[in-house]
Amino acid sequence: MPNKLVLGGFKELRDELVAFPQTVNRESVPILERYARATQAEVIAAYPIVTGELRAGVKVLQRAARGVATLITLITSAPYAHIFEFGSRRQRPRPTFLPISERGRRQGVVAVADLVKSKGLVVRGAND
Amino acid sequence: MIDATEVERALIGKLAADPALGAALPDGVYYDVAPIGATKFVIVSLSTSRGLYELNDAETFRAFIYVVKAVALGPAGDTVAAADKRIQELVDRQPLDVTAAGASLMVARWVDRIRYTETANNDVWQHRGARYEIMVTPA
Repeated sequence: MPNKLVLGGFKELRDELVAFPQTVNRESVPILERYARATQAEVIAAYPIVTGELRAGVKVLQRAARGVATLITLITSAPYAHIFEFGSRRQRPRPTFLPISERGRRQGVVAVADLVKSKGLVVRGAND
Repeated sequence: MIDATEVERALIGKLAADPALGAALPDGVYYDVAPIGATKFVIVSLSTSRGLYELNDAETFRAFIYVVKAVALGPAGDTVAAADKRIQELVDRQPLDVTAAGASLMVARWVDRIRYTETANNDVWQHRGARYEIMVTPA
């Protein structure tokens, strides 16, 4: 009887690898959206109310990007938001949007990295 | 322990000591806000900061991101453009003596650009500069 070694499952493995980006994308979008909404709420709470424009200008935008990517962007769109953040000729800067949004983005990236890790992959640099 | 105030003093001191920057913006370098009457100056302010708590309870390094911008009265942007360029030459990937902070410099680098025009009382003010990350580790 001839010796024979059969290695199976390559097609299944290949199919899983091909589908992996779509799967991670589908599962990571709600995670990122949750972090974006939480960050939006935090920024809104941190802005003062004078005319209400600062708070009203904090928005979450979601759109499809190239390939399987999804882009979720938090913006502050009041016409004087940059003056509030970086200061005027006489008023001191009041950093609010950038510190909060950068922290929220880092937390979202770590959460997606955890998702990818849960599927058996190694993720490095998620805390950078 | 890293003394963050001394990191700011080191940055402001380096900018204030530069003759070219002083010639372009003679009213000085200030933290957060310039005195009344100043029309050509540099503002340094803290935008955000962070440690990495996974590494030695954030004692391994501290990263401070500062706004460093040139501010000048007038519609022309030449002065702030030259000053912005000079600030970048002085800070981006350059040494910074943070010994007084009980630290040594890991990196000082340009992060992103800041540019806007402010109008107030029929005057036009130019703001131009960048955010810079100053990352230090205990000496």
